[in-house]
Amino acid sequence: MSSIIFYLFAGVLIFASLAVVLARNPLYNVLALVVAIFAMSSLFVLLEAFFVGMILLLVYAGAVLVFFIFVVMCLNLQSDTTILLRQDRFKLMGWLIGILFLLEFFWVIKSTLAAQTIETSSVHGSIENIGRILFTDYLLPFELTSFLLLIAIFGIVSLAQGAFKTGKEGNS
Amino acid sequence: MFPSIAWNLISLEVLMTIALVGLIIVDILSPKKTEGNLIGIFSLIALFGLIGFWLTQHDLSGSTFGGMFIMDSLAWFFKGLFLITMVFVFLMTEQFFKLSGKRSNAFYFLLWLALLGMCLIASSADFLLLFIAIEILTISLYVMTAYLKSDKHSIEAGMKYLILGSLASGFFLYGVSFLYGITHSVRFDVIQGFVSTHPMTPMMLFSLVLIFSAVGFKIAAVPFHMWVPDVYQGAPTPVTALLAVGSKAAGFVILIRLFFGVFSAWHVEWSLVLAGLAAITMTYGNLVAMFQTNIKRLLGYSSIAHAGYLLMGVTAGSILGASAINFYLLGYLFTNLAAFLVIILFSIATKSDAIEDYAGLSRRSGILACTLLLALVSLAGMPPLAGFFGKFALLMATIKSEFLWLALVAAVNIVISLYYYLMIVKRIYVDAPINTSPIIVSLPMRLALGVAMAGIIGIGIFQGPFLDAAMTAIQGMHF
Repeated sequence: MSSIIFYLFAGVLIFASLAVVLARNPLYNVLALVVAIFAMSSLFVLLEAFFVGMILLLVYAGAVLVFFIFVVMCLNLQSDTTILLRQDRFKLMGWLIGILFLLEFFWVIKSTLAAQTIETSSVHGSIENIGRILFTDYLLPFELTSFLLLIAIFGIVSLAQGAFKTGKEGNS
Repeated sequence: MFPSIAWNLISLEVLMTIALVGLIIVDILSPKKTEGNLIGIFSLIALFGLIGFWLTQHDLSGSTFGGMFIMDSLAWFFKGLFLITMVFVFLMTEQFFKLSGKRSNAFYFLLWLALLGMCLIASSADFLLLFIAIEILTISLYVMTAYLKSDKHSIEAGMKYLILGSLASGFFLYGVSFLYGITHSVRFDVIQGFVSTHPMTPMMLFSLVLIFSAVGFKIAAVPFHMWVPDVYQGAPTPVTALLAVGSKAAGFVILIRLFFGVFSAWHVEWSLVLAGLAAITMTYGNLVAMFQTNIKRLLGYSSIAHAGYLLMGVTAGSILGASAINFYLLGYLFTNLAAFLVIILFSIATKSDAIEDYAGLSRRSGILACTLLLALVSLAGMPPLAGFFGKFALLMATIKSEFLWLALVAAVNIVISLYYYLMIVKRIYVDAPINTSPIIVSLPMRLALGVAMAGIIGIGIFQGPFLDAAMTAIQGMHF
């Protein structure tokens, strides 16, 4: 039963991810990403990593990507900029590297599955377990992420500060 | 169970954080129209205090946070490199504000955060901590690269750096997730134990390649170098200097920990690949550098070439190779920072980075011409300067590890690089100046230039103590 659900969501994930890259309309790209993240969080739930699955759904699909949709709708993306991005030589290079990467990955998985089975962890991804690990074993990296937030604040303030001003100057 | 924390091991980082928070408070409390640059002066004072504190940490060794954070001789050595780099970068920032005409204290805070990130990279013994530390460094660099909002080169550089850097971070995480799947741990000691008892599997190779591409991005090795020329040219000069010296050194401390420590049992498997990469990297950097007209862009390509030389030390895989990397980075620090100091002082006077404008610099400012001469000649590797002995040590290590062909490629490359470095020297000393007005250099800047020159000459002539320091750093490292 669970393997059927797995293949269902895995299939949805692959198709949605392809749509993220291939869809022509930027709005569809973002919407496909929402679907992809929904499918991914379902896979996490199947692995009994409930907390990660829920956070992925709430934070990414719920908050970040809806914000993305707003941004995409506010920007006028039908202008020349999108055409400039579709340069053929980059497209060819991208396909080549992507296919190479995929083949390499298949080779790796095949050789590994033949040699050994990967054991799953016995610890369930409940909030309690994650919280315990986060505040004991991984205390230092967890605390250091606060610096990342600090950089984000400095970055946004200093990069956005003059942006509105120059916009006004451009209009007047 | 809550792990016990050995605060003395992490005290440098804690003091750095306290300094940062203190500076933010000073910035908030000080009146809006303060004369002079309060934050810049306080930053320098705090930095000298930290350097003094760093000197007392010489014999510190151990690990804390459950083995995640280590302090050993290697971390000590590199933290010193980062602190000295930062002194010069702070001085350049002061000049950069003069050039752009607008002070911004947030720039100093971002520099402090970048310093913190670099110091944490040097002390990481866990892939998760390493990732967070790399991100602290890189994200603050993204912001600083795009800092000149009115300059479209700066915006373009910031955007390119952000997109390619995020891709590299993705590769790093993907590689680490494979590593975790195989070894069930992200800790260096556990992975080292696994590596020494298991043969290389395709999956392990795959994860290693992914992690190496992310670190290769940081050190600007071909084929992960695409961002270098544009970012070096577009970024504010202090940031370019930080990228060229600090960020590259941070990449190499990761490589030393990974390839001389964690994965050292597989040396034979990866040494040939690294040798090939080193050869391609230095040849590409030197060949393209010949055709540059912008001095920052030229130093960008030269920095790619130097990443190639340094990769030779990693290829060698011996203690000699690793200490040659350390010694080379020490010389490279003073050499490159001297060059960037001249570039920023020159661009304040002339508003230009074009190489043709450097014509006749010797008749406009003796000290600038002399410093740039020493820096370029040292980058080219002429005796008796720092760059010469560094290259000599790297070549020796390569030959001793039986990579004679790689040493020959490097020798050819050094000759090629002489051409474009000496072309600039010719322009400075022989060509007639277009504009003969003298460039005035202030006293503190003269002092900084003097220190950089003393570093270039001193490390070249009295190699002994510096080579010993580089060697001790490797011998006492935990991973």
